[in-house]
Amino acid sequence: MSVEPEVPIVQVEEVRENPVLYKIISSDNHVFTISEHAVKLSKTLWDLITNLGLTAENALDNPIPVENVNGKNMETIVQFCERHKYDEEEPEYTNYIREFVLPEWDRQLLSIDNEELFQLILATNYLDIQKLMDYCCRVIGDMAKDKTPEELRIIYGIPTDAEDDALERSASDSPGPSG
Amino acid sequence: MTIPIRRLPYPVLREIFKQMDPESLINFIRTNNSSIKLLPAMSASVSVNYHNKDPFILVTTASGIQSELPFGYYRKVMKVFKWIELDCLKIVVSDKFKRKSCLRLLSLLKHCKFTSCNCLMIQSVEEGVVLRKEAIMDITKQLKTINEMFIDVSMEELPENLDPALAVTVTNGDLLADTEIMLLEAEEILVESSRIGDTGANLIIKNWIAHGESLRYLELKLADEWKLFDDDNLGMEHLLFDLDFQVRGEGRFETKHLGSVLNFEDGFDIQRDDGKKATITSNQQVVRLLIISNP
Repeated sequence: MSVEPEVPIVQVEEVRENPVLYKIISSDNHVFTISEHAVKLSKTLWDLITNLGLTAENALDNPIPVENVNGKNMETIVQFCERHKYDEEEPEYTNYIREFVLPEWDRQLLSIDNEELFQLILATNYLDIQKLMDYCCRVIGDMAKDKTPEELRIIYGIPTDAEDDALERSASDSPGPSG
Repeated sequence: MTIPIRRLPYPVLREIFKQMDPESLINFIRTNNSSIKLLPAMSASVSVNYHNKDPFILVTTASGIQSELPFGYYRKVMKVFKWIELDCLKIVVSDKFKRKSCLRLLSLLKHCKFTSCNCLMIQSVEEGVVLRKEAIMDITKQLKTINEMFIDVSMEELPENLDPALAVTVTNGDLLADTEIMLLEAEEILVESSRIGDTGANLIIKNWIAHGESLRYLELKLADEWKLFDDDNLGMEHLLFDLDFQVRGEGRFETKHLGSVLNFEDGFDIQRDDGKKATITSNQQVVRLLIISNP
């Protein structure tokens, strides 16, 4: 009869899962919990965590306020970061070809109205999340496919030449800061 | 509901442009007169294709996003050339290739922000298409500088008056005589298949000794025996015939050419009257001439 050696059973997922969690408070006071691997996708947040000296012991007691991002966008961002936290690191962008296909999960996540998408891309830019920025830009870039210049003017809110001239004239006619 | 992209920070707007396909970028430029100012210069490759009934150009951005444009869309194509930094220009020829229409299209390159081109490729979609050297010379005239040229189509004569700093790869040199390779002015030359034997290679080396100016590296795949019809020899005694050479005794050496690091163990050193030195190596039908020093 053989005796099984006494080795603790550890689930692979438990080994991969980092127990360190951080709390983030959005501009409208919603609180979000995010894992260490996920929060690292945001250069801004990770720099903040490093500079504040947050550790596994004190992370949850010190929520990080993010005043430029509302709860709705933060929810999307946390979902995105948790989904992509174990992705392979992207090579630095160069002038050489870096192709990617927008995964269906992410396309669904970003199927939001244009106002929300506009706010999300500003939040992504502020939090410096490269992959989410790429994906948001692809979604916005794809809106131009097979569209005429007139249709693009509407989609992207671009004024006509006449409107542009009028805006320029009114800007030059308006009194300067000294009145 | 619109998404007012002009209100986004410029670095974000630039990323959006990188994710757009070329035809969308052209249409974006046409939205109003100031839109072109927003578009950053972007690296892209252009492929001019003749293998369909209707020729077309394929523009691929650095993000790998492509648009296909028919030749007739001159105004659109012209707008493409206004914002791209041409990385690679590929001309894909078939028996439908029409030099004049190709040149008319390529004359639009003068609208390019940057008319230098990292790489020019001439490809054929089918065997048996033979391109005249004048066609390539006309194409190269449209570009200010080219760093590399790949000729993947059969030619009886190679183009002349090329930039001597060029790296040229000839993938199908089966119609070329040794004199054509002697006349080619380039810094690095790779001939991946030829009808040249050791006697022809010997003449090419002798030509470098007598006249070689810009050449720094030549790699020549000699003919298979059954292909030999200019030159009936394959053997080192013919390759080195009448050359004043010394067996290289410095052991393994490394050199970098055509973007690759090459390692050699032995070779034969030759020296010209002006002091320029070269090493000849040969293995499995491939002869290499490495110019190792300039006086």
